[in-house]
Amino acid sequence: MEALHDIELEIPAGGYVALTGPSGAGKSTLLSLIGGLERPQSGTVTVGQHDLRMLRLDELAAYRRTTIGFIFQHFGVIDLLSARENIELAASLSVRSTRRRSQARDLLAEVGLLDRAEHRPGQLSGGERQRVAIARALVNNPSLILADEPTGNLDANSAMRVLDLLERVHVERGCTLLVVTHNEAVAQRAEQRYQLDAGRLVA
Amino acid sequence: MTWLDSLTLASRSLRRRPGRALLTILAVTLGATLLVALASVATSAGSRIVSKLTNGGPATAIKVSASKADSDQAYTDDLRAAGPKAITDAALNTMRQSPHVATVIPVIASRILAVPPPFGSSAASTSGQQAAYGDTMVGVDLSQARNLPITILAGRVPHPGSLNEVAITESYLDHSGMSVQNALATQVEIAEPQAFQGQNGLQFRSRWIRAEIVGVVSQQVGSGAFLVPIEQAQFAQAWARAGVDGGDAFPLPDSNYTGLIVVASSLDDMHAARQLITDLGYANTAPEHLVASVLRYLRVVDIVLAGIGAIALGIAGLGVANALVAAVRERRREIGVLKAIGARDRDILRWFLLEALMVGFVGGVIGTMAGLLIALWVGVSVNSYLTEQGLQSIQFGDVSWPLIGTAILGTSLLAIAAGVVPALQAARLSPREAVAAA
Repeated sequence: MEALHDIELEIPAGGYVALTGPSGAGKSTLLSLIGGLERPQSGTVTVGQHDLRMLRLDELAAYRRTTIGFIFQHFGVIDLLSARENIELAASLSVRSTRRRSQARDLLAEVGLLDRAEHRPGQLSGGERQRVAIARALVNNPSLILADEPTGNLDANSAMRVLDLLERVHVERGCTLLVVTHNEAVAQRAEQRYQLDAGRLVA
Repeated sequence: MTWLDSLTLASRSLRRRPGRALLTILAVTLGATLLVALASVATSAGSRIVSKLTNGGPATAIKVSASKADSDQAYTDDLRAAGPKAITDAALNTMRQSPHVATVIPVIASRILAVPPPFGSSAASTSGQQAAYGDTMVGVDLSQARNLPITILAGRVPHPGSLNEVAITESYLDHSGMSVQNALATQVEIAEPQAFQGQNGLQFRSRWIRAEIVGVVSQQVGSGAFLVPIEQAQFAQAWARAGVDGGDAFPLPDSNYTGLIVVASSLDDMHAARQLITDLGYANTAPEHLVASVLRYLRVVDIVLAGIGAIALGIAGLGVANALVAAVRERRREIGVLKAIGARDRDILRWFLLEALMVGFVGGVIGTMAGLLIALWVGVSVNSYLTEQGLQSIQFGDVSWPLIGTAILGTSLLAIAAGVVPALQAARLSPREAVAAA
């Protein structure tokens, strides 16, 4: 089954792009392709210097580790670990152990959760969990942040705080931000927006 | 991801489902308990049976007599003697140099006269005093007591080189009328005779020693009620040789050694060692065929018991695999998230294998301890029954470190093996599918 057809999309480095469309349009599939979670059956996906179709599994993992910061609608924080440990775990994939703790605390401070560092996800609100996920996504200083419905499970107030945080990170760190969303208000905040329908880019 | 991170994840994962983790550990525990208990009891019982067959000595001990071997000697466990033959130092050295022989222990037996307390009597019995009686003193190098067919019933064997300590057999107790406890730490007078030509023909005189009874033993080293260090027996022999031949009543020994205990290097060397001794012309006896036969039966018992234990462990392994399969199904999203943030397949593999290892290790440790306790309990029950029946008790509950190490390592490896398939499934999950499993 083909999820995407004839997509030709170029996102400028440092840009802020929103990708919208109805359910089943292929938004998450496109995000997965860009994020190196899967490979296209045909065509090419190039992020910076990486031609993702040519990368082996280990190289794809390294690409995700060093280039991409993922943020999920379901937050994706591991509930076995505290907020700090979640960030340290992501850091452990590429950072030396001596720097991990201080880096995790710096990132928690950046997202305003330093006082909640030792709390488990079950003890945090939805907005706080998503902020932990953002801190975790930033741990390896990614050049591209991929956010799949980052406000989908949040109330309006928390959603705005999370979006504000994402935009601040985008501006301060100069990283590219690609947000997949159903929400028109969220999409309107992006510098550029694309719309997918039935696997095709329609606008 | 570091090993410590993987270990943290694994231990927290186990704690997330404490009920399932406990049941899985319990399955491994039960398997390990059964295996260790069976192995421990079987080992104790097996070594006791072999020890009984060999009268407390090593299973590879061969008793050599100062006698000629007859033509059938090589084919039977029994002694086939055909007349006296002196054991020479040359023959002893030939045996010592054989690669099939671990050690050769000379035996010297001397005829003596024993006088139990109270002392002051002569050879004739008088009222209230014990009668002296003729017996034999068996001397060996007691620093090698563990290689000799000696079972200590009470006390200890004399110190090697001691000239005033003896161990006695139950035969002495029968003569003296003493009990085991009464005999220990008492003294016995021993007369070592020497024949000489007196004015009235052949006469005898004695060299007297007084020795403390330090132990009661059952021994098959030689025929005699007294077990002494070989130095005592050598003195007695030298004293006798300083006299003349006492004829039928007290002949001078033809051989420096009454016999030998030859310990073969292994059970596999037993036959070759006996063949060498027979080729040198000496009659000998060893439970070679009997021990081999019994060991074969014990091996069958071991295999059956190991099979039962292996089935239990196999079921435990299935439990571990089942728990991990369920865990992989539950944690698809976490696996996906970890992969999305850059974890490699081997990081995921290590997480699940460490979880399996922890279950196997904890279950193995608890199961091994429980198995040893059960073996000990079985030992207490069996010994209680044996004691009631007037039989010698069995030494159970020895801590066998190789068994403990093997059991814990075995259950750990088994759990890892059981976890390989689910862990590989987890590691090979497509990150896209795993993330979408939300």
